[in-house]
Amino acid sequence: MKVTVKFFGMIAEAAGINSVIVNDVNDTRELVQFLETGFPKIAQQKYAIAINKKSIKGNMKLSEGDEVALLPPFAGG
Amino acid sequence: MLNEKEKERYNRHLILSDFGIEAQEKLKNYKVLVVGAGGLGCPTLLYLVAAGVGEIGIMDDDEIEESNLQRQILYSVDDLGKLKVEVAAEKLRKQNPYVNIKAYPVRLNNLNAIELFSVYDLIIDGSDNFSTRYLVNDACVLLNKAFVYGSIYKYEGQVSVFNSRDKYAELSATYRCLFPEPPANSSVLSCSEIGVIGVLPGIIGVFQATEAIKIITGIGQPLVNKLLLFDALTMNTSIIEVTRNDHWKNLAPQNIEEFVKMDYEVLCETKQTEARSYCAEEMLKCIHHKNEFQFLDVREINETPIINELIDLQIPLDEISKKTNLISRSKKVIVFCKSGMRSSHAIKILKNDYGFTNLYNLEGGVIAYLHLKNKHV
Repeated sequence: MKVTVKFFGMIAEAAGINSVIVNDVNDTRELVQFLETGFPKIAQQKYAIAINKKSIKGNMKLSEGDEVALLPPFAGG
Repeated sequence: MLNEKEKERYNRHLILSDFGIEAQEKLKNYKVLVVGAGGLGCPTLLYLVAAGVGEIGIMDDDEIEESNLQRQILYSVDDLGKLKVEVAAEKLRKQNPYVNIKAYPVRLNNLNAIELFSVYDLIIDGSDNFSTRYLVNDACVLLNKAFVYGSIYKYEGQVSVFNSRDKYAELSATYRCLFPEPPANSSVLSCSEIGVIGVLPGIIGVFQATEAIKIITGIGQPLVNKLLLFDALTMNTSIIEVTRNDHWKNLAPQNIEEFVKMDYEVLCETKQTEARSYCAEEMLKCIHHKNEFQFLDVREINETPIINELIDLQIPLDEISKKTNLISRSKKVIVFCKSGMRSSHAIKILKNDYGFTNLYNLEGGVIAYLHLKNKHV
């Protein structure tokens, strides 16, 4: 199973890329664990998670082809 | 009612389908407060004043610096060193004398937020730091005000309308529904430290003005329960659906009394949070003003020594997350254990996971306290 993960703002900088395709993760908890292991700098950030353009809370099941976004808040104005 | 001059000025709105005189009069009868007269505030203000909003408050305590001129388009070289709100108000009054413009040369704080937000119908958040953003959100939630959020980072921006009503008149998502608690300011650098492309606040600020006009006049679909993302490098925009939730209920002040006492700079770690402990000697003095404090014992239930004057609230460390509702958010809470180790761990949990900002550790715990007390006797 493949999901596409898109990074925004300082998360993209922490990851060093804008998006990544991740295989074989069942839910968002597994995905976050995988991402924070692969890109340790992400773990220091706070961000909201959206699946297919809907923000979620807590752990959610993932399905083939899902698009997940990691959205940090911006302070600037 | 619009006078003849105003009808001429707003002609393109009056002849616009689905807008017309009715929408224009709604604008005239509305009061909008813009927090921050910087990158976002300047374009928002220019367009809201041009559009004919009846009253506009501008709040900012900064002076104009040379490095602002790259994006803060209300200001020019002659204005350097002057207060932003004063220069902005003067220019905007010339631009549209039919708008009542009020300048507030102060920094937003808990008290003036309650006072001022109550007077306005809609708040626009054009601030540049997390303490102000969480303060704006919490004040708007408690006062039942909608606010238009805009924020920027380098080449990217976010826009939303928070704490409004959806089409079924249900309360919509807030800033905390998306971001329940702030990142440490130190982990997120500001425009002054990392730079920002000058046109970006122009785009995002005009988006905020657009949302404000839609909310006031009732046209279109404002970004209620939606977060707009914009990337100036690719011109990609996307809209994320957000739903109202209460994952933040324990993190935010429950009422105005708690709100007024909340320290948003501590919350966002912009202020030094060291020296947040009491030594045994100070503790001996505290017990004489017991009603100003809450004493929280995080030792096990039957753990000794029992100290009569410190008996108040007892929650063993491993139960702390389940009983946070018993802990005061308004009084100073002195947390203690045997030696000060478990209590500092409890403070960490309560601070990071539940947003407490009023906790103090008893250094050296009851051992140090008893030792000193016995010496005094």
